[in-house]
Amino acid sequence: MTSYVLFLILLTLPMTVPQAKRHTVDMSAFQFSPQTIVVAVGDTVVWQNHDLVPHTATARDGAWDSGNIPAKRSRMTVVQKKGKQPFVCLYHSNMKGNLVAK
Amino acid sequence: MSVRFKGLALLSLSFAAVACATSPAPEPVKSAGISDAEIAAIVVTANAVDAEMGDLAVARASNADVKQFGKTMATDHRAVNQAAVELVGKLKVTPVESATSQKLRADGDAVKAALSAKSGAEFDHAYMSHEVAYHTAVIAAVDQVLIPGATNAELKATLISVRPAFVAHLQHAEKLLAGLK
Repeated sequence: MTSYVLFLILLTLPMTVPQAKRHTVDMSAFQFSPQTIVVAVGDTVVWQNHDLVPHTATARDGAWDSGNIPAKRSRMTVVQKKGKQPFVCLYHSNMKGNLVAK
Repeated sequence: MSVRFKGLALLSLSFAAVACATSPAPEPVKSAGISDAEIAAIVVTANAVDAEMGDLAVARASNADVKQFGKTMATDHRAVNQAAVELVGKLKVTPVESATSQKLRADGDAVKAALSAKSGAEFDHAYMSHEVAYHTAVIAAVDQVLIPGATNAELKATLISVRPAFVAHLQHAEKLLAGLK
């Protein structure tokens, strides 16, 4: 009986663990879209470059960096810490965004 | 004067004004019409000239931000040119030189020669001033001549898609220039 109860508890566990989500931020016409993205720690952000030139998505405090994203390519970042994290394109300083991790 | 003729005259005068910033004023070139093949050559030349200017800034700039800007110009304008060359290949359009593209090349060479004689803060200021004037002229040309003049839909769409690059470069250049002492 005890084993059976334990089995039932284990069955319910996956339903209570939050699943990491995948978010996409488009880089198009030299803008991030959306400019503000709300995520959870552990989520993945996909940076999709639709422009003809390379971009980056780089935390202003240097905590994370997508690295060079060539034209028409994408890169991923796994969110590691909580808080508001402004980011820019290292090549094009007018491209700005905010990542808010809860 | 037709709209197209006005546009081409403006294009030539705009680029002449850029050349004036660092070298003697060349005579404005006047053309009576423009084809997709001529537009392709103008786009390729305009990008190549500014990519080379970027290389020069990487080699000669003393300010780290100016040097990085030059590197970005070299990368971005070569990337745009790669896309342009792929497009005209796909469209089976062979770029055709015109008085405007030839003048762009000649003016670019003159500006490069003038900039090559400068160094340090003087180079940084002259290069960034040139970049502001050049991108201002390019945006005017794209808006008033190249996009309205393009007949092929894909060529027109490509010109529209690269415009934000020139605007971003101009804004970046203006900000950098304002910050130079």
